[in-house]
Amino acid sequence: MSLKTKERIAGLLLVRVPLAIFLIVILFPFFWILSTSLKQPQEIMSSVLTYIPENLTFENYKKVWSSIGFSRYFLNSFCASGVAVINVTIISLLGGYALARYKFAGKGVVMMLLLLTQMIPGIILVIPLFRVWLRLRLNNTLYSLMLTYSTTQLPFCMVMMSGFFAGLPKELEEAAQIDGCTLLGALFRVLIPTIAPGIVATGAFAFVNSWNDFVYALNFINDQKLFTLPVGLSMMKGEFTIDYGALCAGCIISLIPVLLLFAYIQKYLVKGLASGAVKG
Amino acid sequence: MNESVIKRKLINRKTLPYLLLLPAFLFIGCFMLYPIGSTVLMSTQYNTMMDPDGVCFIGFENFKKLLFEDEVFHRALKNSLVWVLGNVFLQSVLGMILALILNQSMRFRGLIRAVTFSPWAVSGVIVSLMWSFMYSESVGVFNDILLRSGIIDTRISWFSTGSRAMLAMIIATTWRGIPFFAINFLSSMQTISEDMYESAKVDGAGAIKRFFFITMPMMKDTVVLTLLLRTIWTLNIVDIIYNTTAGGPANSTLTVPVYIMNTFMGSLDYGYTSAMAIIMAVIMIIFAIVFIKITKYGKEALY
Repeated sequence: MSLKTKERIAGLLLVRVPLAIFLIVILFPFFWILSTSLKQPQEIMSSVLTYIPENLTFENYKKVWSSIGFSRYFLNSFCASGVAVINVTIISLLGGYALARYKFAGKGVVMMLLLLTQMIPGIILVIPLFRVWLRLRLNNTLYSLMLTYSTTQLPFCMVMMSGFFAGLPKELEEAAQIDGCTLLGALFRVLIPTIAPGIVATGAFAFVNSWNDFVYALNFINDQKLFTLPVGLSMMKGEFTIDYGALCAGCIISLIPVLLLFAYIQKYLVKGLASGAVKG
Repeated sequence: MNESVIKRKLINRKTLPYLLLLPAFLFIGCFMLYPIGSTVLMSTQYNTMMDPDGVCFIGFENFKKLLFEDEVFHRALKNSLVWVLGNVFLQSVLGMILALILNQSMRFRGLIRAVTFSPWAVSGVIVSLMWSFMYSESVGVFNDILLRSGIIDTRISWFSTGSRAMLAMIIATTWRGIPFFAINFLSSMQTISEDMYESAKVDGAGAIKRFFFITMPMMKDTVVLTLLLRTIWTLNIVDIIYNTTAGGPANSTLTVPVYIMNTFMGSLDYGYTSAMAIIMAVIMIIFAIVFIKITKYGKEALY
């Protein structure tokens, strides 16, 4: 056997075949809930399972969107995560710039603190924050979630932003300031446009994490009108008979925004902006 | 003094970084540090929402009760260990294999990466719902596949025994967690220069030798940090377990955070649940310190 055929066979056995197995295992659950969401109830419950829906139907989507109330949950999730993302982006731009460009007393402590916050279990914050919201009369409002997500997503995003700023030459803002910009002017007119794609990725990252939160939303919200998607989905399962078609349709609806965003941010994550500290 | 002088006194090169960081630390201080402080305080109190006038300092009573009397808590500690070890082991090994594969040149590399990383974007609730459905005894697709391929001849009830339920959930969580390791390992692999592999090849080192003597040592710090973070986050997982088994059957899949959550939602007992949270945090801190010491982490800068 020539060296080339040997290499080709090795590539097939060591790369192609395992990759194919990974792809099948990774994609199958998505395929299965998509397929189920397009089936009619009789087909889902029948004793012989079908893998491709026999009679395509969008009834499950209509049902979950309007009568089960997912249009409402979607809007709630969108508001809570959206406001948090705006907060986090602005605040972490300012903080990230300070961390990247200045030496100041206490900087080491600040960096250490930011790293430690990555390790705080959500459950430790749930109990005292629940009391904070009660006292501020924000319990059972979307504001409580907006503030919670703004805070929990902040440390990682700030470190990510400071990484972007650190990659820019210092001359950039100095030149802008010589041309008569104030520091904030230089920041917003020159630096931020340069790193815009990275900022979008950071914001998307905060969005995905907030959108997927369950523990805070379950504990802080008890009015069904204010449920977010994960809580709404979880409550559907609590009913006596599970409507799998509607449940799968609900999952697909909640998945679409995050899968699209994630496809965009994953290449930034692989570039290793902050190797290791990818909170999830 | 006119306005611009005051302005210059308040905003100068020395104060500016603090001013820029101020909003961030207002948030972190109010909604992270203060709550953690109050958790520590509450853990030493008799403090429940049902009895707001009875709040009082009781020292280490909550801790004593947890460590010496509460058998469910002991069970939860043991379950947590199994849960964390099983998940982190499977995810890191499979994540490493996936990263090695994705590091090869191939067609549609970008697309394949995006697809293989996608489970990381799926929320715990959806992981739980989609996998529970696939595991379902009567209409589940796993039983169907196993039946059709002749591996089993009666349907398996995946969540009827504790160990099977634990295994089923670990598999589901592994599906979601592999990309985290793969992303981080891949990003670290891409910083290793091709020259090192070339010269090793010339010296006659095979692929396995190259992996253990070049790839692994070069990636050590990334591997250590990734393992550490994932261990902590896996211990913290609530959503998947809460929505799949809620700790059952008979507390056999109850981990510490799920126990905290169930107790808190059931009793609104701030004191007792805070004490549990503190014990969990202390265990994690000790683990982190020991892990960093024995792996000699730290040649590479954290950020």
